[in-house]
Amino acid sequence: MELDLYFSNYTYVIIFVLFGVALPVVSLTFGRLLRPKNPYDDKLSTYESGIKPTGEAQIRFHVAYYIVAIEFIIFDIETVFLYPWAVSLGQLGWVGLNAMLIFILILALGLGYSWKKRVLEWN
Amino acid sequence: MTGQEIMFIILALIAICCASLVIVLKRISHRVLSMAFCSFAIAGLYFLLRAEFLGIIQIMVYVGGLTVLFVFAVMMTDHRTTTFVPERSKVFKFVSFIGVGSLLSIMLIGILGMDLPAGTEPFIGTAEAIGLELYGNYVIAFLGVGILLLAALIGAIVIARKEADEQ
Repeated sequence: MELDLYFSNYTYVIIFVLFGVALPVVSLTFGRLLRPKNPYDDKLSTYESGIKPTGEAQIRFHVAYYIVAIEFIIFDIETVFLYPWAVSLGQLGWVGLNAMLIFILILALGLGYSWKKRVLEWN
Repeated sequence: MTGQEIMFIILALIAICCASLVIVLKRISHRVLSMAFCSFAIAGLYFLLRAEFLGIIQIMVYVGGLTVLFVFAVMMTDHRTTTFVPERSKVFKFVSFIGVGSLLSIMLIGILGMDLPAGTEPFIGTAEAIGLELYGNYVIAFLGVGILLLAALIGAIVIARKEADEQ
């Protein structure tokens, strides 16, 4: 049965997931059990490349980063749509090609808008 | 009970627990992490349904992309001074309970009323099968997705630029 083969192949994935979960848990637990515990103020302070830490870590970042993140997500999704299109293009023919061209054109409008509005510039 | 059913129960439990933790946990970064784990469990459910391509997309877009977007949103907002939402009134709680309950019952009626054929062919969820359906039968919906993404992009730019000007 092909279906049984499909699920039995995922046994390896499950083993990998279990190893991935077990590795940090086991190593951190063993580390906690083995290491000597001697905390003092200097040791507990935030590591900032060797100098004394100044200011707070939770500063507000500029909103321009957020637009870049959103653009990343949008074009990430565009790439996602390209994968099934690419493998089935042989059977779809011209209809599929035209559909994808229109789709990319629609998203290119968005890219052009953000270019026009100068959100891609850093200053 | 078969191995698939056991895996389904484990993954569904992880998904439900992580989704509840998103509401229960106090620190926003813990909530984001819990949401990422929830998406992982749902990706596992997709693999169980033989929708391999959707599962990989779920990990790529939701765990990889959306979680980063949430972290960015946390970095952008000032949540040292703002405390969590104040205690709502009893009426508000009651109304929201009824709203959520009716939404849940509508969804349950819809899901239980669906007449799905039991698929036995192994490769229903490959990228090729999805591509043939998406760019063949559902090409209008696909172009609709494009317009939706364009609207999201332009909307985000308009709102974020307004925020940047106010800063």
